[in-house]
Amino acid sequence: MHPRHSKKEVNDVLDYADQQGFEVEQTTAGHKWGRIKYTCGAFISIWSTLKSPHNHGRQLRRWVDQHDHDADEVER
Amino acid sequence: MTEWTFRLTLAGLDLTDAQLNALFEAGCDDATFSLERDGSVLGLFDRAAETQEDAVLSAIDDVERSAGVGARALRVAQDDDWLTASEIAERVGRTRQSIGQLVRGDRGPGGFPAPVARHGSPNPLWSWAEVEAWFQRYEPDAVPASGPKLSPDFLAELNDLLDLRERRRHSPDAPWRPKLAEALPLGA
Repeated sequence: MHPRHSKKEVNDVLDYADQQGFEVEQTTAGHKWGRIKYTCGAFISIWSTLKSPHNHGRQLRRWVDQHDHDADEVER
Repeated sequence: MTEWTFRLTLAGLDLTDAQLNALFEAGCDDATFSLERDGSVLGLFDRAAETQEDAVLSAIDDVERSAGVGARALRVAQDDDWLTASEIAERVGRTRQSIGQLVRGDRGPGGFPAPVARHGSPNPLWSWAEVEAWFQRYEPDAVPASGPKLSPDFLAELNDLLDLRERRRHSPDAPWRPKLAEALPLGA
């Protein structure tokens, strides 16, 4: 189970990323909450201080989806 | 105010904590930053502004002026959804089968965009931007209303300028430059 983010719209995407096999890492530093990491070395940064939890969640979700597809390509 | 969704490809960054916090403080609190496998950095923006120019140029300015970061914008792109044939069918109000016919060219005008991922798998993914443009041409009524989009001409011109800026940065004293500027003046 990954560490919890206090904003539900972000935490839901972390659940999703976790299920898809991404690593969720909490390494808070200032406005940064942590990262979603992918096996290839790519990562996306998660804010703790949020302007729009909705938009941030959507940006994270789109990134997870597009990298999940990379995984499919590598497997073939 | 309108919200514009786009992504910037950035150079000169590796997304350290200090860089991220500087970007946030500079106004990029409406963006999410990623480091890609090839080492490039993306900024995914949802920026509220009156016009597309204001949105994109203010984002570039925020990134490039972030204290001590030294980042440069290399490229701007409309953000895009990657969809399966079933998801495309849902968006344009057709069946999955009829999308398959359009893809194969069995029906319709042909020239359906090629998939962008999972090529040759049973469930490939298409760029919604490309698919939407195709429908816009051949069946505009099928295209659902969506948020505002950056104009392709605006993006093309802006990206040409960013390319040119980058090229001049790498070779500031190229010997052919005066001759080129004389023969092909910008704005002529």
